[in-house]
Amino acid sequence: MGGHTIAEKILARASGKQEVFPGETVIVDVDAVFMHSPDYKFQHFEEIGGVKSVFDSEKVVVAAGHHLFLPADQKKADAAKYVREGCKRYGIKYLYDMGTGNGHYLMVEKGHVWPGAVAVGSDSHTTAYGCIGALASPMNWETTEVMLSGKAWFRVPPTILVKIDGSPQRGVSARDAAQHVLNTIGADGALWHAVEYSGRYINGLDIQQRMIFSLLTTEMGGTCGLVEPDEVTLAFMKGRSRRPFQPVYNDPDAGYVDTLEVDLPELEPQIAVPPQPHFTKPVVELAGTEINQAYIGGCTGGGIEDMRMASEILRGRKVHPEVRLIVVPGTRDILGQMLKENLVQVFMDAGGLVTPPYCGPCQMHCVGNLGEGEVMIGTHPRNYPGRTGAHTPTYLASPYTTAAAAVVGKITDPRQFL
Amino acid sequence: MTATKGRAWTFGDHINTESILTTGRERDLESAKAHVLEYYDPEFPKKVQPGDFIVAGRNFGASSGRQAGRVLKAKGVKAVLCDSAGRVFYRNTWNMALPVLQCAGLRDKVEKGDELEVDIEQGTIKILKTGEILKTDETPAILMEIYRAGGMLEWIKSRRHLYKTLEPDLNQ
Repeated sequence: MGGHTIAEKILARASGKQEVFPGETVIVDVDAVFMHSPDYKFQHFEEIGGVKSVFDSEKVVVAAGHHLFLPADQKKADAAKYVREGCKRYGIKYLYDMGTGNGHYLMVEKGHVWPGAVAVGSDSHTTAYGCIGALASPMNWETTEVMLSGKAWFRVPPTILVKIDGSPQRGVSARDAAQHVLNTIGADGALWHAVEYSGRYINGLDIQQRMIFSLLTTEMGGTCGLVEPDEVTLAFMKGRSRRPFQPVYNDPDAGYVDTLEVDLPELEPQIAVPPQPHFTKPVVELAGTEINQAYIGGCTGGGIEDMRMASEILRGRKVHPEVRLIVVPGTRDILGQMLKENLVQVFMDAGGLVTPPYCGPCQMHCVGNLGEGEVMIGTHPRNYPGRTGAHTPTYLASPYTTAAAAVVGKITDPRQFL
Repeated sequence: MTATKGRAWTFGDHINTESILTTGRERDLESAKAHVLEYYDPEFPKKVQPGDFIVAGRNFGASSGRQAGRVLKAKGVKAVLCDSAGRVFYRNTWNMALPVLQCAGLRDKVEKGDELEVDIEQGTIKILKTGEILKTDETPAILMEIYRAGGMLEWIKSRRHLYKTLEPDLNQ
């Protein structure tokens, strides 16, 4: 009998079984539930009636400051108030309110997930927490039920292995590599699958850069994206995890349905073109496309390394006079580190706006909206129509490429500035 | 008799949930209904009739896990029929008691306005113009159970004694 992948082993353990196989349906105990704007879930609770509390006050996390950051109208202000009241009423202990950050970075940074944990979330980017070897999967509407039962059902996913070795060219970042993988696997190439990211390049990345890979797995349709825990993971988790944990590793003879090897040294800077995140081209093919807004941040670009990369380009340079640059740190801790390294000053000197941490202008929430027909380039994960308006073409790229476009006012190969 | 007849509205591959429920309209169902899927077919929000079906290609309901199915249901769409559906959209929408039936190759056989007869319990789609009957992928048993109960909320209410987080009897 063959060995098992991390995804299979975590789901077996969480469902109390010796082993599970791809395709099988299992019901598992959930270690963490993430939500950013659970107003409709609390409305569900009212409709169900008689809800005493959530299943475990320690395991449900609400990051109201993710979207409902500085509410700009009465409706959003009322929604934020309703969420705060609901957290109290249903015994939810962890509420991250305005200014604390993007919920996906917070879940990992604040130790609400750990290697081997099962997490579900009411946000399609919940796959993010696979960066530390947790099995994390979006469930959205069903989180109402998970909050009451503490359980969720999964179809055990077959696993696709992605191996990334070698050193990238200067100016090529984890986002470029992840964007290339997304393009290769496609928007539904990992539907109901797990994707596991491995190789010396992945092991050399910090946790936030690994998160770009696990998070973008959802753009391939995946159930979860995982990185096997290593020394970097265990060092990161030290003193952070809210539970003692036993990491889960692959069996040496784990079975994969497919393997993709990425030749990193050959990879050029990549860019996703509208209207879908998997439509990816080399940046040079788009060179000269004019932009109105550049955005460094979002759950694939708000990490400290992202800020360092963007600042490499922007230090001593000015943002193009017809471009707005918005910089959104992932969390308050990341903002604190930026202050220590003087990066906020770099962005301000360049003519950019640094906001407090939240989810950012990835869609029309709160601040940073686009006018009809305006063009944005950003480090965030999505560019589908209907997020920032129906006709607001949006390009997705690395912090280097985004910062370079902010300086030139046009999409530009960032390597000329490095 | 669980079969139901209706007209098809056709869409392509990777239709995203933000085009079904646009950002900014999440807390305004009437406005969401007035703009549903207009990016891909401006006629759809104006002319879709209760009982109609969506027939789409691969990965319908890609992207965000927002309550997109709720808008389709509110417009009276009877079922979403597609080559395949986005995972979260699929789970969400069955939980709203709006069926999503997957059948690879379906999209190529149907044109906009075609009459279909769909049997949700049997998992069959009959294309009336040709008489061809297609068998859809099996729906997970738990989703069929939730669907038959009238959706997730009704399903929870029907088994509330199993939850230690709920008062067992609302009348006490």
